[in-house]
Amino acid sequence: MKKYSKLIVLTVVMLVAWTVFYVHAHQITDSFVRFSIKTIEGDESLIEHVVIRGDMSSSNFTYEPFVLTKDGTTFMRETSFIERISDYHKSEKVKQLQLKHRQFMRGKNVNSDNYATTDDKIVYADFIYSKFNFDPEKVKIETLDKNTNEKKTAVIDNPELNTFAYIEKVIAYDEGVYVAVENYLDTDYETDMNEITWNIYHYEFSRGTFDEPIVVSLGKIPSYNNITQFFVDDENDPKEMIVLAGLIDYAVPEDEASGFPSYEEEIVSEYINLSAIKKVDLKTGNVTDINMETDQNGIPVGYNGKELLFIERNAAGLHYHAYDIETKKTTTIVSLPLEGAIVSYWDFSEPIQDGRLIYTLLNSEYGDNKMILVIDEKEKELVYKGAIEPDRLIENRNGDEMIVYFNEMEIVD
Amino acid sequence: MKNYLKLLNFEINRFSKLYFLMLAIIFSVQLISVFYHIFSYLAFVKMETKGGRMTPEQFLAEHFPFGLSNVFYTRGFLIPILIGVVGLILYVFFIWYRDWMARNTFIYRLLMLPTSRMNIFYAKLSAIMLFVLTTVGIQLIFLVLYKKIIEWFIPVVYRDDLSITMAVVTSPYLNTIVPAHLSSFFVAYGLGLAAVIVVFTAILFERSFQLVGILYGLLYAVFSFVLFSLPLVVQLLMFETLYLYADEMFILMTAIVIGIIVVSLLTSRYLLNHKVSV
Repeated sequence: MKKYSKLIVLTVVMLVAWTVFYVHAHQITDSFVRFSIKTIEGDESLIEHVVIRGDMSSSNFTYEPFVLTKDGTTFMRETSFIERISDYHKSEKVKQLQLKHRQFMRGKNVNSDNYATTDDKIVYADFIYSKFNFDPEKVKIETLDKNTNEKKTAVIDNPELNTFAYIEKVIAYDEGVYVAVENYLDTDYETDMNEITWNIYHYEFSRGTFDEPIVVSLGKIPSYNNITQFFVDDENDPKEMIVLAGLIDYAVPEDEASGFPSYEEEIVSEYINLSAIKKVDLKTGNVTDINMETDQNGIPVGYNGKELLFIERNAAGLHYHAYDIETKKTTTIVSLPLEGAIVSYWDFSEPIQDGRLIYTLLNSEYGDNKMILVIDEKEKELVYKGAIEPDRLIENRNGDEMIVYFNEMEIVD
Repeated sequence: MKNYLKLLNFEINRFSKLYFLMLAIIFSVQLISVFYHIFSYLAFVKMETKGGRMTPEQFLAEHFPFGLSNVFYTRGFLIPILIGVVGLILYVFFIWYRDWMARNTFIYRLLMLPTSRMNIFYAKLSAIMLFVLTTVGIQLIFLVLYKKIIEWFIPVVYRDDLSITMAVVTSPYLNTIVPAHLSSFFVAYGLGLAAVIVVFTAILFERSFQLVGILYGLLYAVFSFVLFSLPLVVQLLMFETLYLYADEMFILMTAIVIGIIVVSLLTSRYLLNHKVSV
């Protein structure tokens, strides 16, 4: 036995060290804060398909992404090896499509903006790039009939897009599909302004051809702080489209000599400066300007065919407003007190439309105002309000505050 | 099995002096580095807070607290690990060549043993894997010591008490040798095992065919690497994107690695039994 002592010692040391380490590593998420969605008012079933992606960190050295659903929090390190190596951060919607339609989804872009689904079809849009420069040479649309598994492809040969062009939304309905592309024409590096158009391509399934694209010019918008939004009146039968551009701006302080404003003062001075609102008639291609004759706006969240919907935050709380394009009148749909918390316009994630419901995720970095709000754009009422709550105080072992971000929300089937 | 264990024990004993010397160098350099950084940090804290210029809270608002993670990013910690890695890579070659190159051609005796010659191969392979895994295992044990030292010297107010496991799994450098998940451990060290087997086969080519054997060995290693990378390269060349899903890629690449291991072992057996000469 003594002859084998070195071999035995090395083997025992190796086995003990690695075993203890992996037993600990397996339990590491037990020390993490977990979140859940607590319904405050409204129909709880509305969040059944909500998926929120977030991440948390406690110092420069720790970072852990997670997914939050109505069933609770799942950390990345709790998922399988295959899930971890197959682009964990990709959209849940794309993950589901990949699971259900493996052949169709093979080799495709994982950006959820490139996809649209109807009861019968999956529609995918993407660019085909030129071999000689970085400009998109073609726009390709692929459709899959879910019932027959029949796949069709259509291509626009010369979309006249520049290098920086992005598919922002694909809207599929029974007869066809719209592909909305944000196209950067020119950048003025001295003023940091971009000249932007939104090009809208329409493809009709029965004809099998594309119409001439509708080009909506949004003029020049700043490279930073900008917001561009795009809404249709009815996703199942779109007739009109609204394209908005603007920025989150800051009011000049009354006393400029007082130096840099504090974080709180900066947030209070935020306002939404909408530079362009265009209404597009999808049948005729006519583009008309909408001049909002009110400063009671906010982050644009939806369009119900008659009114533009905004969410505004001010000292009194959060307010959903509806601006009637015809009568130019603003009505406040709902007001929610915020109990003295600081909420910035940057704390709102991209609004999500699911039929007539508009989901807003408020992710305030400070305080406990992390919530999900759902409004019905037709009835103009708040149908759900839920808070995202931690299961314990959000702090690490040293008592330092942990930074938690809820980055993105999705509605999955 | 008994013969294999005897040979493995023999390989361990032969390298043990050098191995323990290497461990002594790695961990004494790391230990000195840990002390150096602890005392540098304490001196910095003292300088900044001297005469009540700063409270601990004010200091921590501007600077990081001190913890294991601070040590992980220092040269005094990483270079010894690199020394260990290089040492063990060299040992992959040394473990074969010393049998030929030593004053007495020891390989004679090894090849004449009344046991399968592949036992020599497996013993050398196991010795290397055991040394690698034990070195990293001892590194994990030493982290416990470093953490204790930090706790002894750094006042709690300035300390980042991140657990060892958390500090390891969130460190990009240590994560390379200590994968955060058991599944990743098997993948990473499985690939390492396959690489060592391929290198062993290449060495046996060289030992079997001398000068031209170097070419055969190199070609074999390159061929194995190309075969392993083929699924990735073909997809990117043909489709300019990953056409296969991650699970399919994993199955395919696992099959390729197993194939490479089997072919390497069969080739090595053939070379050891029929071609290797003293």
